[in-house]
Amino acid sequence: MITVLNPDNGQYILNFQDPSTLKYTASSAVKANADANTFKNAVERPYCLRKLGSWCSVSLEMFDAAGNVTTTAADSVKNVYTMKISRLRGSVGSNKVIAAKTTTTSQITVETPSTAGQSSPPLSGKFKIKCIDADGFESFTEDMAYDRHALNINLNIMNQCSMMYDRSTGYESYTHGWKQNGIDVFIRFSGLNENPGQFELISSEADPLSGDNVTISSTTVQEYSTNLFYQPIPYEFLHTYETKPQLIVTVNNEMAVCHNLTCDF
Amino acid sequence: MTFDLYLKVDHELYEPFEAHCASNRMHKCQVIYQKAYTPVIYELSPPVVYYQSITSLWFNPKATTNLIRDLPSDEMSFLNAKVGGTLIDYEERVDFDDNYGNWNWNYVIGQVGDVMPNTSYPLSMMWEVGKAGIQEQMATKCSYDNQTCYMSKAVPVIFSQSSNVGFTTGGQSLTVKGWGFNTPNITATVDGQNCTVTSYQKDQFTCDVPPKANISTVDVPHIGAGGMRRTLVNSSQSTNNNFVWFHNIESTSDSAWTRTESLSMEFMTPNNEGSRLANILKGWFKAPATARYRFYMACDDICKLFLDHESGSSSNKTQILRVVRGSSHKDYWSRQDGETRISDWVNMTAGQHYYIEGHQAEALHGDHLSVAVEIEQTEMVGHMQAMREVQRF
Repeated sequence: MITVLNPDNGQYILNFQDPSTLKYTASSAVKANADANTFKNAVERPYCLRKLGSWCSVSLEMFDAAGNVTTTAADSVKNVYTMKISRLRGSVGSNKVIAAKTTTTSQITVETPSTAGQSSPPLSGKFKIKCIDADGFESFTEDMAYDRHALNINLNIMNQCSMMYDRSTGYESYTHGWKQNGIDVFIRFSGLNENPGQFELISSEADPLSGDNVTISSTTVQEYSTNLFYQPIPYEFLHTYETKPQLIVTVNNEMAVCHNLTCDF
Repeated sequence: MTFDLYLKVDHELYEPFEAHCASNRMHKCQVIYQKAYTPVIYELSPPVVYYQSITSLWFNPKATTNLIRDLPSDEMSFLNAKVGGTLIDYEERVDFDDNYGNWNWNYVIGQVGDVMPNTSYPLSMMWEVGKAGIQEQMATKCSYDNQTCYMSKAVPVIFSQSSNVGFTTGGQSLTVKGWGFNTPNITATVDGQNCTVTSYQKDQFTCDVPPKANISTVDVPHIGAGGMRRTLVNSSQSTNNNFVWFHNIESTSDSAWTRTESLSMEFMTPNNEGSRLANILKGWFKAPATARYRFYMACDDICKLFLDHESGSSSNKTQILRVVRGSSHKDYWSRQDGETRISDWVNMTAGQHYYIEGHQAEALHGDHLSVAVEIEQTEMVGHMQAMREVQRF
């Protein structure tokens, strides 16, 4: 949390100290009266992304001389920036931040995560997938680390679950941004022309998933059905759009394609 | 329970080995085997091909590439791929040092050789370790009525015609060049009039254009042959950072941009064509049944889908999907951007043509566009194209 009193148009630089190496990483120069987005741009790439491997968010609260919250920058005598790292961490990114003034005369104070608040605990541990085939037979994958990509999860389903070899495809949803924030994957049963049982993500017994109020759910987002699904829309359902009459040819009742799209006539 | 396990492959018996299953876990005992050194073909895309057309073969090499060592510099990891007995030519599009990820989806783009039209061809791919298997549930494509299925199909093709204009008096002899015309069973129409075939051979035929009462109507919507008209807009050579995006995709004002038209054999663009480019695909969707339809769209980076709900019309297209964040190839279920990639249901009538148009724009890195369709029906059970389940956890 960075507090700027009497914000002016001058600039400063934030220097974040790495708690283990004690080396500093500098932000870009930022104006004392910067809005939240400008502040974010000054710290995100140089520090959040390069040093912590994460996006970050910045919120700004401004207070007028009477101590009331204001949305008018010109009325603000105190700007309070709250900077949060998007990726959950198990340790503080920095426990010492120095604001080095270059041209500003504003008073700047910094609260580090130790006092301003640390990240919720990141996800850790292992999980496995319980697979159920159409006959109700249960099988399980081996335990997998929390940060396993959907492609690898699908690979283990393929190789370790009963009747699933080459039957499914895995997609990341990227809902949580980072695996430390949560797991969210889709499994499409692309090679299984039947209704599978509900697969389940199960926390490992040996190394359970842990984090901030870990909840686990397994749902079906697209039911197997008699509806037909063509992906992509196939040739047989498509005709070219033209603005002139066409030469149309069929050979043994199969329509010829017009390779160069020059069959006007 | 203790038992001996024997493995027999091509009549050759391998040494037995002993396995043990604890008595309290007998219900979980299972024998699992992996065909880890058998590459698998997933599909040909597009599966409908013709002489000299371009197509992608999607496959998974499994662990095969671990076995292929010390490959001469002028040899690919796989030996060949064929549609029926016809080779797919990879010389222009595959480098000898291209690598294919173990246990992953991979694709190679090639040009189909002199394949003759046929309603069904098998696929094959030969590796140093032997012939690839085929995931039939994915590779097989079936018609709406489920009566005809194929892994690949070859259609005849027109490359050129001797004239693009005729006379109301008719009598003109039209020569059509292409491939796959070596049969008397050819019908040709020009502006809806039968053109009487007078001679034919493999790569061309001629027909006599009949008289016509009225001159042809132009600058109105007409329905062409199979496929879609794809315009590739390439703005990468722009000198003033004027790059193509949604707002300027139809613009022709920047002379540094190029616009290339080609035939697309399905509602999809090739993968990873480049940066600072866009695609416009225009066509007619011919409804195979009177039913409800909904469309799915996945792309990288951004895309839109338009539909004219009135059959035969293209003047009242409406946007039915808009996606502003990329997803994985054919990932229609992603919702991380809060936007659906699935349209509302649309009623359509069998045999009617509905104008459909897709836009896709790409800034940097990977790119793709694919549009799928779901057709509501309950009569056919176990159809090869039945909607597969998707689960999330």
